[in-house]
Amino acid sequence: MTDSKQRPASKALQALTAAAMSLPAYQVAAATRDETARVSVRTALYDEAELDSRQVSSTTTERYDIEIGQLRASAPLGERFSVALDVAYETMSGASPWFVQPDADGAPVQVMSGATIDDARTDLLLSVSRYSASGRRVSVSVGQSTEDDYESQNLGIEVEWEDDDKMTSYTVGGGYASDTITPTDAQTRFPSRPDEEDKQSLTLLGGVSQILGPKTVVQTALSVSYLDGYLSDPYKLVFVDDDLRQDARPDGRWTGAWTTRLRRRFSSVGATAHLDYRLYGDDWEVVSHTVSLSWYQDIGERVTVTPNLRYYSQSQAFFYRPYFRTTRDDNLYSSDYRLSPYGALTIGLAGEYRFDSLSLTGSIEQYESSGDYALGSVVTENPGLVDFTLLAVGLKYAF
Amino acid sequence: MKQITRLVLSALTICLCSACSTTPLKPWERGHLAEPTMSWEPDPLASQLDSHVYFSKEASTGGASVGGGGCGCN
Repeated sequence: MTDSKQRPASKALQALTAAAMSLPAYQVAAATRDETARVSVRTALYDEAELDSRQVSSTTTERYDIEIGQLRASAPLGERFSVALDVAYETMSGASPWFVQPDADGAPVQVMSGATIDDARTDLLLSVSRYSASGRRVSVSVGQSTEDDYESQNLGIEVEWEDDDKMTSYTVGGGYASDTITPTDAQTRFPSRPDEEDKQSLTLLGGVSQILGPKTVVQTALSVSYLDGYLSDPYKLVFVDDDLRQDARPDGRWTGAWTTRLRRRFSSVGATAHLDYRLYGDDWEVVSHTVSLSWYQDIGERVTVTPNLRYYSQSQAFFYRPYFRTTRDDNLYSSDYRLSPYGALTIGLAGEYRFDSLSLTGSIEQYESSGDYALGSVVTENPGLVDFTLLAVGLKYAF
Repeated sequence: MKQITRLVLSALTICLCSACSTTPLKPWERGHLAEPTMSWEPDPLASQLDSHVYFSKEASTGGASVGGGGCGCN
């Protein structure tokens, strides 16, 4: 091969490389900074379905409605940094499951909290990332969540780096959260509620992302957490041996989650498939499986429609029963439906319409939970299992 | 339950082992990977809200990133 033949090929290669380098930042495997400032706002309505009146032993069967407003702003900062701010504000109102008791036939029936509960929550999260020329990202985040009766502060750090061939990237991280709860009416109407309690949690994470080909990438990550402190629900009671007691859980909890995510582009039909799986286990003996599948279908240049499906199944905590006929030696009791055995199915549809720098988004999700959906057999379903609808609309703007 | 767990673990192990032998891609072969829908979370606000709702209503928690804290909802 002569020099004269090499030069055109080299120019073509340079042109292709330049074109490839001008593509939007690829955020899956490479720790690459997004060079565009963006702002997104979103409003959502979360609506829990009424309970079956045959399984409720109180006047109200209504549950929570929550209105949510969200804001996210992100931008590059200087030559090496980027910053992101996430804000969420929620107002919630409705009734909540209080305790479960047996009816005349021994079947569990739900008793709801008597009065309507009104609360609001503000959640702030600020993240700063530094990107190095070698393809390493270091992100630090600090956040706070505030409610009338609850305060949570959190810190997080994540480091991501990639191999020389830019096919594999690695992530390690850690997070710490400190929470304080001051239950309402603890000193007046409900003296058995604690006045103030706290808990801390520590999370460690390690993950690997691997490009499998020009259209496929996979990521797997393992996270381990330890929660220490008051882990009970002060607003729930438990029916034990014809008496009512406070919900009482262990004051420590080890949890582990193994998450694997696959992204595959089907360019011939203009679609991308997302397949996620999470295996979760903890020392309260809860084991769960979560599988979700989303199909991002482009319709022309401006529209993407995304149907999605999520399946979830969990086993129960070792100290859970709908109600207790006898006392336990360890004095641990909970009838919380969230610690009961069940399965759940979410069916959703999302859409996005893009005008130049502005996008409109909308989505609807329907969540249904049932003992019948669980992977294992459920002998007695908790009557407080929740079904909900989540509606959202939003705007995104890229500067 | 155990059989399903074992099956999933085996499938993931095979998938990851096969991933280690992939041929490095040239920059111009990465166009599809740069599609916005190929991100782990194409809509961060939607992902945050979904995670928060599931964290509030289910016993499981934890995923592929850290950051964020607790709330009185769980």
